[in-house]
Amino acid sequence: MTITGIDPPAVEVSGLTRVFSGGRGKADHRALDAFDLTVTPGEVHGLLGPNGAGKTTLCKILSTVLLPTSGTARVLGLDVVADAKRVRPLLGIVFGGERGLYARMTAGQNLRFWAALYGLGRRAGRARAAELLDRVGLSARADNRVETFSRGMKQRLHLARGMIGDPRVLILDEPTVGMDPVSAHEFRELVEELRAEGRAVLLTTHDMAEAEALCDRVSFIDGGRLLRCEDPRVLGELLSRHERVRATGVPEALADRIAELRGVEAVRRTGPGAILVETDRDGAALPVLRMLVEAGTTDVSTAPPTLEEVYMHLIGDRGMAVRS
Amino acid sequence: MNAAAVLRQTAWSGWTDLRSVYTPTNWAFGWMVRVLCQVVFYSMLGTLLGDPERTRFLLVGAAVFIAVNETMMTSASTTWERSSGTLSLLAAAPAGMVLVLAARSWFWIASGTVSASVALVVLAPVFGLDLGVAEALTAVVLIFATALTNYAVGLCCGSLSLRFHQLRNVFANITLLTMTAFCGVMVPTSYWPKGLQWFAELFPAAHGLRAVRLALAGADAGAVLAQVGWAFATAAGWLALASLSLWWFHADARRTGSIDFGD
Repeated sequence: MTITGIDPPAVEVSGLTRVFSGGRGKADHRALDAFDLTVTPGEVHGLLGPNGAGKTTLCKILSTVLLPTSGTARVLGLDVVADAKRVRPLLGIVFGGERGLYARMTAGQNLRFWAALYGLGRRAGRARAAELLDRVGLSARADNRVETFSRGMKQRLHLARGMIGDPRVLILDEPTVGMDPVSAHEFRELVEELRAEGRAVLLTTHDMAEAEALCDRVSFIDGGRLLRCEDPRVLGELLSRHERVRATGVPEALADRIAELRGVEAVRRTGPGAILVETDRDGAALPVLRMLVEAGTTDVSTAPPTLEEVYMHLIGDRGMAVRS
Repeated sequence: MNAAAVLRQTAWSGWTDLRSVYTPTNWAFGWMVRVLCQVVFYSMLGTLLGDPERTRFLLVGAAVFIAVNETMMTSASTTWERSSGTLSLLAAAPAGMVLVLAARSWFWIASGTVSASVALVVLAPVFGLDLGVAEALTAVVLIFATALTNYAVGLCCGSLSLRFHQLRNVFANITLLTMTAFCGVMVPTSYWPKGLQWFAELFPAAHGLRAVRLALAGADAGAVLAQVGWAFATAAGWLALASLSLWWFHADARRTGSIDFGD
């Protein structure tokens, strides 16, 4: 795989653009727009963005299901267009939700089916399926039909299915969507194990806590463009100068006076008498705190922004609107 | 790629599909009742005409055509991968999708052979067709050959149904009706103009059905085997067309994005 002795990135995307034809009389849709991304081996990389941002389009191109309009995408140094056949065995794909499994087959049959498609013979396929079922805690249910499984069990089977070819790169497309907290926690532990084994994981998610807990880096994507790519903690620090002050029992007049202070970007009402003050410059939180304390407010706290706040800040106020 | 392993696992997947389509009860008291009624209905036309020869012609045509009818369901079952959400995973798998899609619906061959054979054997005495054990066994083998070769036609329709999903029911229906009309099921092929007769020869079902008729009429083995040979030869053409069409579907889907994650 390496010619120079240096391992190629697990995923390397450069100037990747995908335009979908709009059809008769309709405008074309640019799902990805000169997108750049690098994922190193052993990295869990989060891809965050609203619906229609281009996350799934990127995953489809990387998994060789879709061709890009322009730009390049490489998996472990192999081009996903020119070397698609060599890329496929290196990749594992895991969906979230109910789809992607043969519901009427047992868990073991599902895995043996995919083992065959990843080049394993009968004996090797059986062994691999058994090993993976054990790993994801489904050995006892190996002979049960998938249609009888809970959401969490299906998701663990999805992960086992994605691992069947022993891939070095895994694409997890919203894997914990709809899962209960306990199942999601167990699933995240499995992803941690994958990282420990040196596998690269590209994880698309809406779940900020998941991204913060799991990812070494996160990329924010919107409108097919990369907005920011950072360590989740660095992203938080980026906005730390936009310090937040929370307080309760704040009269209306006091809130109005705080809003007029220099460096205060916004004062949001978060409940009866509760406010969230956002500042936009270093040191701006101090006069806010002073004013609150002098007014007799005792329930006051400052906090760094959460990843969700970073997300909202970067994506803007588009809310649930999906780009056309 | 380990093609044998892929085919073995695909066959197993097909078996689970078959078990979800039919239970022994709904097969016997649902599907087979419908099949027998259909064959009785067409055979009765001959009885009403008061023509024993015509009655036997209609009986054999209607019974054997059950195998053709069932194998055309391949067209629908080929698209089941899309509804189970596994199509994109097949497209991204090292073995690709063509072999799996080509083999996944094999169970229609088995069920079509059984349904048609039961219909012929059960109704033959009712409509005056003298069917000995040897003739019955020969007929079953030839019905199997008809189902097997017509599978390629169903697969071809299935590949088009994947590509043009909104028209998924159209391809199989038009093809089935075309075969019903021109392949000698109810009307002898000789009834039609020469051009249509040649057109009918393109379908394995026309040859398979002719082979059954020849065998039951006591024709020599050479004539019967010649028709079986033609059935396989035309099936090879349909299979090549289906493979090409599946490959085209995959290539086109990569270009247009018509396979979504979760499809």
